[in-house]
Amino acid sequence: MLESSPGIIAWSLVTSISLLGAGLSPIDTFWFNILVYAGSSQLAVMPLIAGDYPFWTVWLTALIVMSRFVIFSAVIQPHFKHYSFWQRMGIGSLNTDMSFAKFIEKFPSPDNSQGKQVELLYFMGMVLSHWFFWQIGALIAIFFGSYIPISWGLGFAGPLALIALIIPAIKHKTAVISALVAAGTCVLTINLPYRLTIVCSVIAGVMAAVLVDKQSQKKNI
Amino acid sequence: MNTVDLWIAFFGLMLVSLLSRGSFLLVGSKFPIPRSIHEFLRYAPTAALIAIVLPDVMFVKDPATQLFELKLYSPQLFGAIGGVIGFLVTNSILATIILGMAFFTLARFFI
Repeated sequence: MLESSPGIIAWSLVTSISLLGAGLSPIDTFWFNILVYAGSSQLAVMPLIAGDYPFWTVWLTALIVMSRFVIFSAVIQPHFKHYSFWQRMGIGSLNTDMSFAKFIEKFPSPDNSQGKQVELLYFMGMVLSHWFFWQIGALIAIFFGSYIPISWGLGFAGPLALIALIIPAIKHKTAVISALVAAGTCVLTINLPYRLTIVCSVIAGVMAAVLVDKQSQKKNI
Repeated sequence: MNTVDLWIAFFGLMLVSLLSRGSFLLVGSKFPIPRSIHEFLRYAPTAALIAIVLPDVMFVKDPATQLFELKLYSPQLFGAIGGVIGFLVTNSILATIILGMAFFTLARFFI
């Protein structure tokens, strides 16, 4: 959990530096990260906030950018369905791309032998530490952001941390094809607005896995 | 935006974050997802991560048009190769970041 912290901090750092660069005050930047805590959606709506766009434009844009989390929440739902409404709200509210991927890597199926308590502790420990490191990055940006040259490209540590999560997940034929289809879809849809390329790639990657699996079942019969 | 508008925007965005992250987790028992589909949603996280990483590795954003353009000879691509090597050799996220940043920074001086 602590291992990916440099990636999270670097990512948060560059996110907040661009929020500040777009004209958000330091104190507003701080609360934006605390309340909304969604890097990709914060970056997407920042130009709209700076340009005084109507609220519904801002919120709708964020909703489209966040739509991948609707799929993610469906994936973790069977793992946490026996908790109360407010507990589930608490569990879901801090989910991130990275913690979701790590959790599914560790607990691929809802019926695991280690017990529900272990799942919950792993998930909450991870999302809380990610939240903490994200806020650290935001604070570094607020206090020292102007001393860090953009040309250093520190934000690249974020994608690098994700590479370390992608590779171990591509371990058999279905996963390889799913990943290739997702990558191809991403290249084709990269310039869609609202970062829709993420959701398109997710849908394409999952569909590809379904098709590959059907094909190999046919061969076995 | 003035301060009041900004905070209205923030609270709306907070709700968007909570609702999107919570959605199925909150109402899922009323809309059960068939197990057969659920099994394949396992591939969702990797696909999402790929779509987040690729634009940073294989593309550059044109500052004028804000569109992504394919660029394969870039410090980012060398950095990603360094990261992949780092992971395959050590299996550690930290080594992936360190070797990737080293390759990226070196390539920055040569490209």
